[in-house]
Amino acid sequence: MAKLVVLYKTPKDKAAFDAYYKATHIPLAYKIPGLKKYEISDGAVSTPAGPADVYLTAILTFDSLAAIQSALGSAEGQAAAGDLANFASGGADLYMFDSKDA
Amino acid sequence: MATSLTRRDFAASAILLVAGSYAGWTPAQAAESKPAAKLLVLYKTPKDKAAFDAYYKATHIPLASKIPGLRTYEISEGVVNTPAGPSDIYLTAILTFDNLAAIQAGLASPEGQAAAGDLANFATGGADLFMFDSKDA
Repeated sequence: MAKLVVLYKTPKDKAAFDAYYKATHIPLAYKIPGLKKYEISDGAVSTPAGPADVYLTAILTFDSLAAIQSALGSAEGQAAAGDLANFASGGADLYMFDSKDA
Repeated sequence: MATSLTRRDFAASAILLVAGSYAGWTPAQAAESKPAAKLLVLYKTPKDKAAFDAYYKATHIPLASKIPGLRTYEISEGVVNTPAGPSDIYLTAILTFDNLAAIQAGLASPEGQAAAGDLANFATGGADLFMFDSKDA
């Protein structure tokens, strides 16, 4: 398997972020070809020392890193990636990697 | 190889699209899982990658696997990329528990304290830890 991890930093307007993410971004991201699973954080993101500067996490699972790269290159992937600029006002870090059981 | 993957993905999407329009079913619903929480660890590039790899495998994985309440423990394999190219992250670990309270209890246990305390022994580039309840989008 492989994962695409998205860490959204705290946005300027949390309510606007929440509304846009749910109504617009989730439906767009679900169209990405090869997506096997799409999980998001529910409530606060913490660190061992307390609250994090990350507001929302998304973990998208695909078959392989090659599948993620091909998916992001597709029209649907480009639409979802391009949509970040419309709501991720705090910025977002994206990481992608093959994964295995430890 | 990229071409054949693309073609296969298109074929799979087409099949899922047909199934979806037929039964109101999506791949995500098919993969729906029970409630869970994640502990995400992002290890920055260490000073000595070979030493990091050896220690992580021989010592840290066995320690972390003992944390009470741990359900699954996945790590990255190979390079961690960003859309723009290589990242400053060398290794990721995603540990799944039943809920955030279980993560907190797990980390507070002697086994959790041993695993957390072990980071100082090998994570020479530093590590960011994030924990959160998670749900299907």
